[in-house]
Amino acid sequence: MSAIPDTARQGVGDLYRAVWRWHFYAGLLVLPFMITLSITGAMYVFRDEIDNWYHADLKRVQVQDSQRLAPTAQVASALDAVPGTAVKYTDPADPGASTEVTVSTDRGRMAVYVNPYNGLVLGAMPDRTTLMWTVRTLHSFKYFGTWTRYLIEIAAGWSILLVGTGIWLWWPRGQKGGIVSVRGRPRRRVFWRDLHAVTGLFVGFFIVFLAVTGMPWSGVWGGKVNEWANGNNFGYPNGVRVNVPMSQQKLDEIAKTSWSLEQAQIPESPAPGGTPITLDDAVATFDRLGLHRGYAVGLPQKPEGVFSGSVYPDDLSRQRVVHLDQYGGQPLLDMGYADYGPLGKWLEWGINTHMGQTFGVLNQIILLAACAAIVLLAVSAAVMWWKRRPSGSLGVPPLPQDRRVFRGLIAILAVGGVIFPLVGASLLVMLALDMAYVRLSRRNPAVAA
Amino acid sequence: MKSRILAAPMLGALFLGLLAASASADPLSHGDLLLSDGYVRAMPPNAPVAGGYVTLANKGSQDDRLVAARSPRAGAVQIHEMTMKGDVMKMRELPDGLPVPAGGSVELKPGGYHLMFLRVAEPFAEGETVEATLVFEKAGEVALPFAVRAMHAAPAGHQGHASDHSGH
Repeated sequence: MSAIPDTARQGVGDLYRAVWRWHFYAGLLVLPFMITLSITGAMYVFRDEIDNWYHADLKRVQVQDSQRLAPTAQVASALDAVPGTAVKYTDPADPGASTEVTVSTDRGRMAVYVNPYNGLVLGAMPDRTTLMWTVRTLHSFKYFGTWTRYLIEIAAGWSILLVGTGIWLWWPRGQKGGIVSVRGRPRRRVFWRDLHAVTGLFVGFFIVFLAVTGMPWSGVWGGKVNEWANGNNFGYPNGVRVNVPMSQQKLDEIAKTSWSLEQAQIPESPAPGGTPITLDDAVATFDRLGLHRGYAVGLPQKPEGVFSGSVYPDDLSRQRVVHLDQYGGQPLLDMGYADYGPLGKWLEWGINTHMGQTFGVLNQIILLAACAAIVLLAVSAAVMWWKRRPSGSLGVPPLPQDRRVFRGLIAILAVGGVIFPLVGASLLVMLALDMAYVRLSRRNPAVAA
Repeated sequence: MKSRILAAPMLGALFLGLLAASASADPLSHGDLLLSDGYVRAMPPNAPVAGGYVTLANKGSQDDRLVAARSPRAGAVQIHEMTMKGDVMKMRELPDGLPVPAGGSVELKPGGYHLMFLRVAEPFAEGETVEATLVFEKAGEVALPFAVRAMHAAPAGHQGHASDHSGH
């Protein structure tokens, strides 16, 4: 049974049971998500390394001494192989990288890879379908549709609940082990309980951090906050957006942007007319302005469109968006991390760290270790439950005798539920199910076991 | 369904190949080899490279192999293969050239084996002829003219859509 000594159990018994019960429910709900999120997340942290290896035929070229061809020549080559309209040109991030030209065809967007040294097309594939793009959509559950993203949002909220209740359950109550050490052998349940508790203690911080910093991508909470931050100078500097004419095109439709710029609209070239500058001119300007290598250039698609250079490198401070007038070639807007409002900065830092970019390789390795630990948590939880579970029943932890202890717990859940509405709604559903389960067990004691 | 995304332009290119076959120049005979319907695609403005196509037939009893190619109009001519695997199209140079089996023939055509003309100083324009020399392992060198044909002679519907999207 539980690892708590009898004396301690009497003191905290009821509350302990209540917390344990909710920890159990949250775990049951979140366990599969924790495993998929950890596996896909651990892979995605190494996205560049993995994609460059898996898609080496398309993404990598032999470094040559010769000059790179002009961007317009590379785009022309891409269009010759895959007819359509070029919508984006992505500068090679390093000397061994190919150029990516995004071509809009009547069958959808294609990513066309071009050797920048000789102009040969290396190949093409539907846009955003590289191995790591697929892993990314699996991580966010977008892969399975829009509504499934809400499940991830709920799972994130519940995982925070798991950490909170888990730490409470871990809290030393006079036992001789299982605080930072593991007792017993794998045969015994106490081994798995301790393994779970000790791992959880160390990884709990990372779970909360990843859940919170992952929230901005979520469907309901993320969507709302995104909307709010971008319509608010707290997220964006005053004047920059207000005084520049906007087209109806959102930046996210052109390039993968940082989270807080997703709602940002691209300014228009003020006066359509005259001779447009070429992509070569635009790229020369972006280079002169010092955009970090590997920037994407959104190409103007209509007379009032602009050349949009954007880059989101590991180094946060070099995040940059520059829009060039397609006729005069002058920057209409030039914004970087330093120009974001405090909310924008805070969120971008969280996202950058969530993606393993902020502290270089160390960031990647720590997240990889955290992901491995989360899988261990999930596995030890499952084993522990299996070993405790009475045969032929779900093995829900027993209900406390005094129901008043639920009040404090419910108050905490209510506050969290208001901040994260989707999580709150799911909590109510779970509460209702729990009550129904209790009623049913009372009528038929065999179910409760 | 997804795999058709790329297939469309490729099929268009294939269609071009069929069209071309009906209006080909006289085949050129060299030893056991018969070379017919050599053509290159006209280059759009700024394009640095161009594709070349030809049908190689081997009437002899010995396997042969196309090992190299060159042209006074290009800095280099490479032998390439295009492959489709699922939705992913790949182009690569064939390092060992292209076998032409005894009694068989190989068609270099859009969407499959083809020649790539690199470092073309003066873009190929429709209507002109580009000289190139193909080098075979056994039959040796063969010079032949490649007619320059319009690019993207794809079915009308496809091109129409593409140009609708570009506002300039």
